[in-house]
Amino acid sequence: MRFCLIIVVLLSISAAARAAPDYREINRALAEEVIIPAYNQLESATSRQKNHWISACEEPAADALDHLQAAYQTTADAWAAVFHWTAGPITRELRRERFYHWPERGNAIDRALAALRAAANPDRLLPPLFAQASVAVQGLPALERLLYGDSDVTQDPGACEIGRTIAINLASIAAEVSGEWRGAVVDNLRRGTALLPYFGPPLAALNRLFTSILTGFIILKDQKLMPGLRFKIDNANPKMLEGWRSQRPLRNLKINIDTLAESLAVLSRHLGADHRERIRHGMARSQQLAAQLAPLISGVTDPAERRKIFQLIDSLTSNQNEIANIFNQRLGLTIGFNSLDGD
Amino acid sequence: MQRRHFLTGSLLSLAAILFDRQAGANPNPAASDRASGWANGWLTGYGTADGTYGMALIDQTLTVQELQPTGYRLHDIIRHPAGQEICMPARRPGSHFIILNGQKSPMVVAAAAGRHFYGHGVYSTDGRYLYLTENDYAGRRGVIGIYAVAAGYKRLGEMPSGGIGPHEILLHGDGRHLIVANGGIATHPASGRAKLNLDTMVPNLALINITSGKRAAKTELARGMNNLSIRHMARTPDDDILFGLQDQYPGLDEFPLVGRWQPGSEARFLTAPAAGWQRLNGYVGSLKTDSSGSIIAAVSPKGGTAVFWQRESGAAIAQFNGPDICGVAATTVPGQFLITSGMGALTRVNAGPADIHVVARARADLRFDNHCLACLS
Repeated sequence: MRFCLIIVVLLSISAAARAAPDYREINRALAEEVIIPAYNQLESATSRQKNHWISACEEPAADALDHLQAAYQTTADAWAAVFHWTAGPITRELRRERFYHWPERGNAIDRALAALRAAANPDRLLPPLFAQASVAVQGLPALERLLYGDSDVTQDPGACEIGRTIAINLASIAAEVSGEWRGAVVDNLRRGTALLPYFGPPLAALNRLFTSILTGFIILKDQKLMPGLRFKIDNANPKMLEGWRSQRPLRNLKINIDTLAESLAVLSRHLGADHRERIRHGMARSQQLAAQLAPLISGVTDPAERRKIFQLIDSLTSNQNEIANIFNQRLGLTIGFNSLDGD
Repeated sequence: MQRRHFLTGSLLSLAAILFDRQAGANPNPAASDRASGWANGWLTGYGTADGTYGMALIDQTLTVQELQPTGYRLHDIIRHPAGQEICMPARRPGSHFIILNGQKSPMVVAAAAGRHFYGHGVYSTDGRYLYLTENDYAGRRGVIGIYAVAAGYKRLGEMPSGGIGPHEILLHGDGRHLIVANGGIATHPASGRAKLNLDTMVPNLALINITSGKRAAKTELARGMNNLSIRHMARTPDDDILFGLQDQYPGLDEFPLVGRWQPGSEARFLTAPAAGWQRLNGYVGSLKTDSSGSIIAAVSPKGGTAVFWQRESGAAIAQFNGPDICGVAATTVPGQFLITSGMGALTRVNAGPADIHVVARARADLRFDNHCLACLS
């Protein structure tokens, strides 16, 4: 009996020590410190990019293409810092797919661009109609196709007009998403009230954000690395890598890992020091492995580099598993059992 | 050792979960005691908050009993025609299956070298053979593993599945053919669950002759729809094969996601639900008919919705929404289904042309997996 009493007391102490986390505060911190600054960055990058396109198409200067490519790289950097958010305003009206249709199927972007150029309707590039066009032609990957093709897009009025329309579309989507986050979304997260269809009550909202973070690891491995790497070196295909035309595969990867680490650092504040350190150490290891990689475009066909890439994949997998486990145990967070990890 | 209790290597941990330390003891009395309950409830895989997995029984009152820990995540559960035995294959890229019999100790069987399972299988009509969908990952082809039940599930051999990435498999009504949903996606255990051929995938539905192993019929989706992986199926008594799709590039176009096929003819699609196919978010995770075979249910955990169709007209008649819902199974009542979710929700709904209404709800502290098996006879 005495033994049982001791166990009961110990369990009570343990339960008290693990009082329910303040999910509202975690959501607020994630929104204010990570998500909103990142979307603000995307909004300003796309806005600048839009202005460059408007100027370039109106009065193409000799260095217009350089400016457009630089603006593209800045915008792509900003997107890489929000690539994993699959919850909130980005989910509305296919915004995420419209902003960044990738990976593509069957050269869909080229086909959609060609169809757009061939279309007779002069209003096809007006924003309301363009927003209804194929997602393949509306976003950043289509802009990449225009900017890093064989010819100078600024010297082709038809192509330039399409590029300008895409840039306006991107700026519009980024402004809408960013504005919603700064307004109703963060207000509701601060108050702990639901804002459907984006977020439910605090724990449900945090579960959606947490699922996004874990999805980020899956996107890195299953979409960004393995399709280009393949299991056998003979099957490696650099053109399956994200952003290969603009030489961005490794740059994207590094920013993606950094932004996951940043989100996890905020989440980890609500863990004990040991768990916090384990997550920090694990993410630092992934960042270090990514920093040691040669450009992926050549790396996927190089045996020594492939070993390093596989090491990074292992590190990401290990982090993903440990994070899912720790946050489940300590904060009661769960991933979508079927929606994220079904078959 | 007649029974293949593989107690070496990686199976040790599985065995430790399944078996009592005392030799000869019934490893899980609860499973044996409740075996009779199989005939009046539903079986499903589950996960727990602390990362363990198992198989549970849901009874008619929606009370859940954790029947058997498994040590790995399940997918579908397959019942022997005699009723007393079930097979629980690991989902992709798992390499074990467990046979559970109310009267015997559990049996763990490992995949053949170079093969892994997809979480689906079917018994022959006479119950002598078990057929499981498997991946010959070095050969990058799907196969159907053939197991002799009376020989302790000895693997007799295999036959081609007729494509890459075979997933659900059903027995045709004639008992002489298998119907295989070849999802078209190549994977390799070394790269986890990564999809390796999305740009070139060609899914199909194949009818395989059990005796010859030859493909008797096949259908592929129309040109431009190869991104739709054919994964799950249901069969009506008159051999209408219903199938559900998973779009590997969701958002690019609005593709139909549920169709029907009769071998020898072209596949056709059901009409879109009122909110459009996009409401399913490119993904059907489970598909079943009701006990009368006249109502079809397709569930999308990514869309958080279940859509119901009248089979005869092909018209969408109702919709039920819930987060992470996926498992669906018939009840004995025509038009009624049990729907399970990854968040532990259990709901019995009546779906008819006039309306849809919830008959009963319950919740368990478990995450229910993709599929739910009705054991109602």
